[in-house]
Amino acid sequence: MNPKKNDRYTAAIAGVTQQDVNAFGALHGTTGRTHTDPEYAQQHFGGVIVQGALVMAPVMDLCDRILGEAWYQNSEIETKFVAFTRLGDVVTVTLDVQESSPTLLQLSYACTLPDGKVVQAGTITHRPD
Amino acid sequence: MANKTWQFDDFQIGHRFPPSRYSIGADDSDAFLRTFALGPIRAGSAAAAPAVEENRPVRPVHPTLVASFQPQHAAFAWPTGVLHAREKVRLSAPVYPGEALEASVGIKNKYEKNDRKFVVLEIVVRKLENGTDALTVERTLVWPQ
Repeated sequence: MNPKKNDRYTAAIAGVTQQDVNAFGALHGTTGRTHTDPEYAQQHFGGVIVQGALVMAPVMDLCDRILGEAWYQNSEIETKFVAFTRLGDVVTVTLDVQESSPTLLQLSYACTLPDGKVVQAGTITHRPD
Repeated sequence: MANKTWQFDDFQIGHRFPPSRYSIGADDSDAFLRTFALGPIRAGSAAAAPAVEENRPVRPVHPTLVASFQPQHAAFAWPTGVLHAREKVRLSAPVYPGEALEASVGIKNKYEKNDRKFVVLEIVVRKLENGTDALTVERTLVWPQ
């Protein structure tokens, strides 16, 4: 792939179940009660919070699909978790190419819910060898 | 797994915990990829949608799994209610299943803003085989009051 300035890529991230959250948490080390204890999470946070990293992971998959093996070196992703993602939420990731040159690829991205609410936003940078 | 639960006041900027060693097997790497699903990629403007590339002999371990919270568990325990606010991951080299890794967790910053307490960790993951960095994470967490 050779993304050009102003290119845009979008993809949907499937809504996750409590089972997905638990499985992800067991591997990732994020099994806190905010994610895995519905009663506690309801009482303190209005419901189970999907791990921010569980939404960020497919964004990185999108980078893998666009950049291939090059994604795994000289790359950086910076993300701000701005709102909670809940069980079952389908998230759309939109990735915009801000800059593309032989020495720098810079993208911005946002993860949004169907009502337009942003749950994550960030930047991705890749510096080819 | 560390036993002591660290409160906000316990953290000192610049402190580094003893490093921990681990590796990620192919089964865990594959299982991790099954916990989420990215749908087809649509390309707008003049961009071409990337082709699905499933013919790589070995896919690198997902960076989110390499940069997991497991090294943090080895370093210290944290109270219920800690929230994840920001994450910056710098990728330096792919990690393949079974590679021996060493992670070092340090306290990069701590501060209070709008009555919330933030702790910024720096986690450096290094390949033991050749001593090169695989990735570095800057993780900002919100500590409960």
